[in-house]
Amino acid sequence: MSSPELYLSFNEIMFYFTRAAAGAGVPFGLAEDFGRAAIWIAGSGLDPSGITANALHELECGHSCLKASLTEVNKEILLTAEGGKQLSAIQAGAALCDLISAQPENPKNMQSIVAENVDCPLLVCAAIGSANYDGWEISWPASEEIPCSVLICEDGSWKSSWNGREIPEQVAAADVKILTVNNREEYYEKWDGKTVYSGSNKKQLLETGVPVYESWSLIYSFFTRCLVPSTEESRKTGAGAGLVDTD
Amino acid sequence: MKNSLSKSAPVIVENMRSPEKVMCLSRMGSSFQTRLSFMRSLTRRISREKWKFEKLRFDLDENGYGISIFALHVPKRTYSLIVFTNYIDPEMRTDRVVAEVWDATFNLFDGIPSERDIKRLATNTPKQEAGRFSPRELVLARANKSLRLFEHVVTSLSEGRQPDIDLLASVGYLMRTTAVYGSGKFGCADREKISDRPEAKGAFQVEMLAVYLFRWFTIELVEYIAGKRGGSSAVNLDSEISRYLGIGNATGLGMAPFLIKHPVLIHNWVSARETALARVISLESHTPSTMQRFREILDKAVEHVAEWDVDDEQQTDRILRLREDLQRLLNWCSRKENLNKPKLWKRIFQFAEANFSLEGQELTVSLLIEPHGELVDDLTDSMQTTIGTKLDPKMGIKQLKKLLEECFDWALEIDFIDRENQRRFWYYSEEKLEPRFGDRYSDPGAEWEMPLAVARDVYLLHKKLINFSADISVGRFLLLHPEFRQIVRRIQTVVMFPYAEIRDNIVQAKTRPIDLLRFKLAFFGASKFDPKSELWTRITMFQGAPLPGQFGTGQSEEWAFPLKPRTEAA
Repeated sequence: MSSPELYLSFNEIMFYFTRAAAGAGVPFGLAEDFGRAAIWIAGSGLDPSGITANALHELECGHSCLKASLTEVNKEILLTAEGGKQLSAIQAGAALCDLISAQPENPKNMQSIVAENVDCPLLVCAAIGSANYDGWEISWPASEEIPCSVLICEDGSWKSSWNGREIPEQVAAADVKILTVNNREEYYEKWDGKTVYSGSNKKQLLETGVPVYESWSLIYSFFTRCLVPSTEESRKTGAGAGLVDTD
Repeated sequence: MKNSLSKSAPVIVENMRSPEKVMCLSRMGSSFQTRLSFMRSLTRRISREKWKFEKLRFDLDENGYGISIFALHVPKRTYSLIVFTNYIDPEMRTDRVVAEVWDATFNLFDGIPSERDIKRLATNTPKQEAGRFSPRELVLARANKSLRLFEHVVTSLSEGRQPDIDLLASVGYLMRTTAVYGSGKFGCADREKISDRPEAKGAFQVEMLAVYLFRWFTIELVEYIAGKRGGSSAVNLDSEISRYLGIGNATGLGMAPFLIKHPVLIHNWVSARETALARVISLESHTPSTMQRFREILDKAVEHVAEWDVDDEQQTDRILRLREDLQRLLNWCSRKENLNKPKLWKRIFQFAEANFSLEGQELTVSLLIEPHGELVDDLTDSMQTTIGTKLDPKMGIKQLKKLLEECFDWALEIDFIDRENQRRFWYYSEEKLEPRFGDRYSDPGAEWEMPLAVARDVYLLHKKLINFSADISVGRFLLLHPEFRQIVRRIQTVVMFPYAEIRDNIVQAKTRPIDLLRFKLAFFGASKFDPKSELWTRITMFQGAPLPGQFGTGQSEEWAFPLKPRTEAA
């Protein structure tokens, strides 16, 4: 991996990523969720810009959209983008968190939830993780041959189905299925020995800052859209304007 | 206050003022420091825990330019103030965010810096916003000299005499800070890194600490330059004069968005102050000791306000009215029949409420709290939070609408069809991200407005909700209307925190951002508010507070309403 472009504080991640999403046209409330998801990714020891930038890019290109509808069939809820487009993970993550929150307490009555054609599935995991919904498993195919799944654990930690720290490349948008892990035996068997991304990384990162790499420039370019060009007039009417402090 | 709100707001107890009264801009803009203010709680901790101060490095030339490091040893760790001072062209000196050079730039460093750290900071700190910092740095700030006072003090001391007290009092500080950044800004440490440290638990404690140490530095600096200039003729500042010197600060629009963005924190600040007031005015009787302390602080406040002079006409009018209010309070307290009945504090409070200006009422609140440290000082522990806003997607939209109508009636009463009620907008300028306050109908950039117009957004949400006949969940509503996600999350959170919301429209044409600034600065512990326009103010911080060598000397360590030293200029 190349050298980091920059080391960011977590506060900066929230500030820049939220406004980057807003710069890409995401309403501010969803943009805040995007910022929190970026923090969760960073806290796992991953580059938040690398994982999130594509979601903004896909929105920018018009491949993805935020508008979605829900349909319920039997015990399954389907979340689908409007107009045949990909569903932005920014909207999918927030909507899935809302659906999880509304699920009945008895696992037997819980519905299976599927978000169709999501552009950046790992960002959905980040949304669910940042909302602290531990015990939920998120699954999607990275490609035809590579199924991926993530288990959200306590304290910001999570497990991945892939081995090592190399995240499988996402070749296309994919259906993302989430379900609660209610069978402990199956849970232990399936997830035992899998790669753990520990939430305790965050403590170390608070001492060093979060490294961001080449995708940071894309995040920053979306961020700068939220800044209003300075005019002679606005400069003149700013706080403290006209003052030369020789007193 | 409405019953429904009281039910969801258990913090409200008897004798607490209502949020409708306390959280309106005009009253917020009349705030004063109290003994719960952050600078005050910091100096009490310094005294209680006997913190040790050490001058580690003072490598300055004869003009005071160079590198200085002042260390502070608290029970379990050390912090260092690293200051870079250099010559700047006087014409380049400005208090604005868009400034590019400063007389002094500094960091509060976590620990003692190595030579490598100092080298790194020597490259970055003087650049301020254009530099990059690491989590070893807790605070980044800068300051400019008050030219008229700084040079006078240096000259006087170098010639073996004390500075002119009246000139000194007319400024109040040798240098003024123009920005103090913490909480992860520009790569500095996140608050989370230090939030479990006892000395950092209160609000803004490391930022206040950096300013406190810098104040010490400014005193050392003038004495050092005077010594270089005057040699054996030079003298140091009289201790009473040095204690009177605070640190100035110029504050602009950057503070205002903070108050809107942290509603639960603001609730906790106000709730602590209002709880303190409620505890005091609930007392059945007073003791001779508290009465004596009240009289002493009232006398000090009368003199302090008499010494408070500003150029701003509106603030001058307010100060004149405040002086009258305080004279009436003195008169009221001089009548024996007023003092010999139960509930003295409540009657003083009621007298002020019935007769005083807003400044007079708020100063009375501060005076009432002041003698009751044993009763209220524990409340400073509650003036922080880790709670952010949280969405409840399960709630039905009918319930959400009911919440709006019960708890945000003040917002729904505003007519947003009237263009004047949303003329202004807040934004970040591309020029160093300087926060600015634009005119929606004539300035560019309204589409990038900061999401601070709570009343307007509540109004728009309500308008949308009344057109919904079905009682769907909030989650489903937000899938259809994601543009309301932020305001819904805020509403669902703040209804539990009644002092969280400013009960005014901050985007109306006549909004005075300075009201927001004063409110926040009063909680910091600032005094001598000196408005320069409706957008920014100068203030004095730590004026009258003991300097590092002045703790534990037997003198009072409380410093509310500092007074001009009575020491004669030599």
